[in-house]
Amino acid sequence: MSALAAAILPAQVPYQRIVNADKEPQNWLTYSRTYNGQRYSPLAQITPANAAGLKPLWTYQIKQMDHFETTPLAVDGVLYITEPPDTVSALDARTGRSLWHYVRPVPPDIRPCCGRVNRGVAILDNTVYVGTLDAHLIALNARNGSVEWDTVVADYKAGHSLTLAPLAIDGKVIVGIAGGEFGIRGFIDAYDAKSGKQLWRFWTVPGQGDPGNDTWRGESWKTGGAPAWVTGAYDPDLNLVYWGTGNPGPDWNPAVRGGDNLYSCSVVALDASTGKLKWHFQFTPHDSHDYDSTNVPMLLDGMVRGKQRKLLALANRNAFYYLLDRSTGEFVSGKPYAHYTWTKGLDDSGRPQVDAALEPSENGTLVSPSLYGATNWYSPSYSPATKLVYVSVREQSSYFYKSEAEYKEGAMFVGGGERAIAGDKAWGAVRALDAFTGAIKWEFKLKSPPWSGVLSTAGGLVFGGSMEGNFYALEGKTGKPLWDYQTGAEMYSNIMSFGVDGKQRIAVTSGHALFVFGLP
Amino acid sequence: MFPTVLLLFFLAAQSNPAPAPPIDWAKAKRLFDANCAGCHGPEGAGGKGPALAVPILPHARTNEQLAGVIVGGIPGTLMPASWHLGNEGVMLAVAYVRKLGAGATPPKVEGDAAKGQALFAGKGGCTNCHSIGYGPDLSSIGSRRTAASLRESITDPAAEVLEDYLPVRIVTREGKMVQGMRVNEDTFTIQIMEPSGRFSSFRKDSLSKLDKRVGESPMPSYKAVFSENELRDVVAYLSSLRGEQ
Ligand code: HEC
Ligand code: HEC
Repeated sequence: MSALAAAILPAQVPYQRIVNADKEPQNWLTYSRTYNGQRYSPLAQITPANAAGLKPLWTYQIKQMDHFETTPLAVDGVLYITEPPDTVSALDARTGRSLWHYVRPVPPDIRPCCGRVNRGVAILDNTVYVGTLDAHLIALNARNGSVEWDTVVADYKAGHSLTLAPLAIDGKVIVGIAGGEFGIRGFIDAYDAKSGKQLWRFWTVPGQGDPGNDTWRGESWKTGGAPAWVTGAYDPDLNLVYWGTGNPGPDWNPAVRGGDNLYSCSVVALDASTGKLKWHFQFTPHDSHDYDSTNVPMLLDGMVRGKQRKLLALANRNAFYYLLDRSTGEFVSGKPYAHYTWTKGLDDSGRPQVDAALEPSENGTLVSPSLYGATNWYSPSYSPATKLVYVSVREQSSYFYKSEAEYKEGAMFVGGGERAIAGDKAWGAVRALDAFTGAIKWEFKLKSPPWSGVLSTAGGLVFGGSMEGNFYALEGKTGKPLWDYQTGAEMYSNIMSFGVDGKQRIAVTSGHALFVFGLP
Repeated sequence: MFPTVLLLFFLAAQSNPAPAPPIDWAKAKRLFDANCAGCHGPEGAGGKGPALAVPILPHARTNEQLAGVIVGGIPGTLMPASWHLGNEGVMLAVAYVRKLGAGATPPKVEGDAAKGQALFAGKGGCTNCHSIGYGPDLSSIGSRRTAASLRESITDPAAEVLEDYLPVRIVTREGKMVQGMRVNEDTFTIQIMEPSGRFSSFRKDSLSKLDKRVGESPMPSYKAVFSENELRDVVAYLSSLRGEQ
């Protein structure tokens, strides 16, 4: 087995390797593979012509019952994954056999709002970074999983947690906090990659005296939420970090927080060196339906209305697909990609024309999309080959309820809830959008609203997963189904591709297992 | 973000309670009328949901179980998750359901259960489906449903069809026709049970037609089959089926 031993080299991932990730398509070095958030694999061995021959090659099973939502990183023959609740494992990419585990006990009194999940690690140089449910950021030696440093990001007892994969850039590790259902005050932090010392913090709810604080009535900013629980994107040329932010608190009773509630339900562009706000764009001002904008921003360049532009594309939970100028934050366009009723539409500046009659009420107000949105945390994908953005879409509506909300530290602060219309009335789809106009080019229908993201590849494929366990490949140009495999469990997953022994592999979690597929 | 699983959170909050606040009964009634009475009937007399004004609730013997049923619903049945009520609302609902139970007298059902049993197995042919798993298990139906709603199930089954019992008609590309009930479905395949109890499974791309008969029931109506007295007897028999209590 000398070949096996030779494959497992010490990880050496200097920042420049991540910047130039396209030079090593067999690896997957950061959450969305590239800093631009596109979740596109340049690997092209698996194609529409041979996809029907895909077979499972190995399976790795975890021991916890929580959702398994990790995106593996692939580095020179090793996969780095997180397992719920707070375990990091290194696996041999060829066989799935484990190389090391880092197991961190979860404090017994921890109660994250939405499951004990973790969505992956970051890697930089020889270190693997993981955020934990008790809101620590931990640096592990990539060779054996030993702890290099352990920094407390925030107090978990007040409802803070980290569930996202950190973003590692030049000398820094960036994380956004979760806890928007507990009346936390959201933030995005950068830590020194070597020492774990905090370098900067950007409050997603501006403090007293800061611009934007006046978009919150009275003291409501103190419990304003606006968490930042999904990994953002980075443009090394502009040196800007882009991050989506979540709902204002309390979720469904907006009366107590009059105003637009900046910077909730927004995307913020931060100077990576200082954490200073360069620009922001708020998709859903004064949100009352929990339409987080914590969707992965995709950075793409192209022609819009005859003009070449540096763009940020975001398929929002609120059912609109937005294009912004990523240098300035200027609104370029916004088009619906799913059924919606919460707004009449967008005006010329991209601001929604909200119908106040559709706010949550004591007896329930029927609104689309549902609380879980037209899409959610799982990733979209952009293929530079087809110039299409692929989104995994949820077509569902729900009754939104409003009730009293009283803040108590560490307790839920939501002010209502929802009852979703389930069964055959709810369904899903993968939709392909023209990246530069938002026009829907095709759709592939799913039996029920999905919790799995999509991956597009240079081979011309789009992979996705369903809540009934179907893992499938579509033709990227047309949406035609080419292959599917029943994994046997609900899929809460983000899909990635890597290469080992010169062969392309596709990795996806389903239920409590990681499956790796390839052509035999 | 938001919750798929909130149950633990609520139950934990229930298990170390602050000193119980006095119950606002007017508010509790409003909450029950708005959220529960539509299915469980006014004052919990029962409807398409079981009567709650009964001494024992099999799914909710303790208050914690009751709170759990309210927050999380009963998966696979009509009983919805009502976590939107919040801690206070759930507590009020628990108190109100217990109050209904405390004052309960068992409803009197007309008809002759023994005759009804004979009709069930004989003239009605009900066992053709309900003993082979083509229709749902009825062994505790009497504890879940009122006489009036049982009557409706028999005379007008399509009025309220259980989600899990969708009638389907399919035609394969070779022209073979299969009718039955959907047992399971995913994006690419469908599994069907025929009235004989036989299972079959198809890839959707091998079908020329997949007709989901939404709003129909696989069960025939007995409106024209039973006399009024027979109907009463069958209902009396079903009401007596209370499972193991
Ligand atoms: C959409 C209809 C519907 C609504 C609304 C509804 N229920 Fe139910 N409920 C049902 C059905 C149907 C069942 C029986 C499920 C089964 O088959 O076991 C049930 C079961 C129950 C049970 C278990 C009874 C037992 O036999 O142990 C309780 C308790 C209950 N519901 C309470 C409530 C309360 C309280 C509310 C309001 C907050 C509510 N339900 C709202 C339909 C409903
Ligand atoms: C052809 C098969 C078939 C026959 C015959 C049949 N049923 Fe059904 N029955 C079903 C199916 C399938 C359902 C579930 C779908 C629905 O709710 O309509 C059902 C539902 C019911 C329900 C509601 C169950 C619940 O959990 O809510 C009752 C009560 C019932 N049947 C009673 C009867 C009686 C009494 C007879 C005979 C007089 C009978 N059925 C004959 C197939 C059948």
